[in-house]
Amino acid sequence: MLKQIFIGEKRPVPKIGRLAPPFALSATEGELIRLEDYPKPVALVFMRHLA
Amino acid sequence: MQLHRPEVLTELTALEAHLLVISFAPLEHLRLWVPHFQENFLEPWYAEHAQPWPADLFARTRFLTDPNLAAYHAYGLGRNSVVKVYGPGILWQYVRWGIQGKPIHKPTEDPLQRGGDFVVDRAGQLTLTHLGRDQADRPPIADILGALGRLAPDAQNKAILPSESP
Repeated sequence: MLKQIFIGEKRPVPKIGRLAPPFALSATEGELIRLEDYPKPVALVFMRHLA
Repeated sequence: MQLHRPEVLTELTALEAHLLVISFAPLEHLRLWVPHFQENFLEPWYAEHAQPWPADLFARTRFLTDPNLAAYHAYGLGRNSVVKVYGPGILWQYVRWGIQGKPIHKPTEDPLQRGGDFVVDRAGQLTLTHLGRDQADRPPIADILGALGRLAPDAQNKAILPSESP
């Protein structure tokens, strides 16, 4: 509990120069988007909770 | 918001770059949020700055859902601390939104989940990684555009716009 309040949960972040971790996620149109097949360059914006 | 301003859209087109905006909200929530985002954040900005509304606003943007957090975890995005989430920066952002009349809803998803920004170049390699110090910390748009264009690191440090939300 105290750890979550003051420190949070840390995970290893992929470094610059490394291959981007692949993923396959559904788009709002229903289509499955695979990062490895998607046109690049591409910016990935991971949002926090919806405002 | 800043990634969908006219000058940024023009630059994205010139770079032949794309945006993938990822949320951990369920698909049905995200589908409802996209028009909400457009109506309450994008349209007021374009109206306030007397900018013509682009016909192809989301031409280079796809909105993806990751309710299981698989991609978030693959990119090192765990949960933030309570202290950071509700620090001065994010509280000030909410105050500004309140002053601007933007709707502020109680979050229905985990408010501690971290966000982040990454850029993948044509070879599939990361040219930018950014995990904010707190919930209000996003990279300058110049950094994102610089990484998309694979500019030198010193060029990426020349911020042309302050950071805000996507």
